[in-house]
Amino acid sequence: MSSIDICRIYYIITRNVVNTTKRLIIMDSISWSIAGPAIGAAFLASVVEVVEAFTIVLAVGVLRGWRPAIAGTLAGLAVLAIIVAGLGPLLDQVPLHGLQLVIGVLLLLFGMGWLRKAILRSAGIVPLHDELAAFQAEKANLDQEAQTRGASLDWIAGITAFKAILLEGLEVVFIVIAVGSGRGLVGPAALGALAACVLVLLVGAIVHKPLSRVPENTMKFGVGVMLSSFGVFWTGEGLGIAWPGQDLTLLLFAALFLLTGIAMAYILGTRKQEISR
Amino acid sequence: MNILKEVLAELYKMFLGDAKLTAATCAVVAATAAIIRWVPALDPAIAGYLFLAGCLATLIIVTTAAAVRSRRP
Repeated sequence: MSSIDICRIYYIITRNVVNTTKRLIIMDSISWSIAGPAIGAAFLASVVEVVEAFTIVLAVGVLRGWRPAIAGTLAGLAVLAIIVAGLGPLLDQVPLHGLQLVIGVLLLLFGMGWLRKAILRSAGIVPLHDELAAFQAEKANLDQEAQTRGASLDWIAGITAFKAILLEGLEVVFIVIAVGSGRGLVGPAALGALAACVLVLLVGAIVHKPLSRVPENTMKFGVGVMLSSFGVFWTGEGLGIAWPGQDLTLLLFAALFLLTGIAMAYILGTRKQEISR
Repeated sequence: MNILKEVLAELYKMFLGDAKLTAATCAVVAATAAIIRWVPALDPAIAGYLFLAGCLATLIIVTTAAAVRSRRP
């Protein structure tokens, strides 16, 4: 074998390795550009919702003991699992463009709703959510319900925990399905949500009081940005728009929503201070 | 029955809680669909960026309106 042949083989191998590496890098960046925000949105939104549900379940547990609290929680989780199991196969029947359009519009409505609320809270126009106040209010509600209805307190406590898990969990279920269904990412998004549940429960079990120090509004701001970006992306694809840069366009959308949100919170907050002087 | 009502109320609040935001967003989506359908010469990507601008404008208008409303006595 001459030295020219060796150089030729070396060139072919190097070219193939470089091409394969390039393909892998491009594939990874595309899949992670959409999987990262999907898992992140599911995780952050779940933290926000699970913290709220945890406050109510904690109130039930502290007031009436952990049996009704855990029974209500398990029943709520079971109903949520049935909803997910029922919706999953149904979504597979819907044509992709139709699904992207419907989910995209719902994501836009939900995401911009959260972002609007987070901007108003950051600007000091709407008060921040207070977990300690929510905890006290829930305890007072439980006492009052037991007195007015005369029903068994354990039963009322269990139903209260069940409702908290079901109502807060519905938003998590929607987010997981919405951010995951367009690209077959329901599994990873569900894992993000599950990680949030485990984290909140672990911290809650250690602290054993309402998690009032969780930066809820900052997380809501982030989730609002991500869901709004997904909303624009899916709705566009549902309308037949092929985004230049494909999945990476999501990052541009997220940056624009984030900048708009921060600028609005700053401007509205400054104006509020000027008016109150 | 009461729980079902609360679930439906929660779902309504999730997507249709702010009527102005819902109406404006649906209007932007409808306008984009109309542009793509009736102006075939326009690059769909440009229609897409117009759609993005419409969504950002909706967010700004709806949030400002809510801030102004909250200042009224």
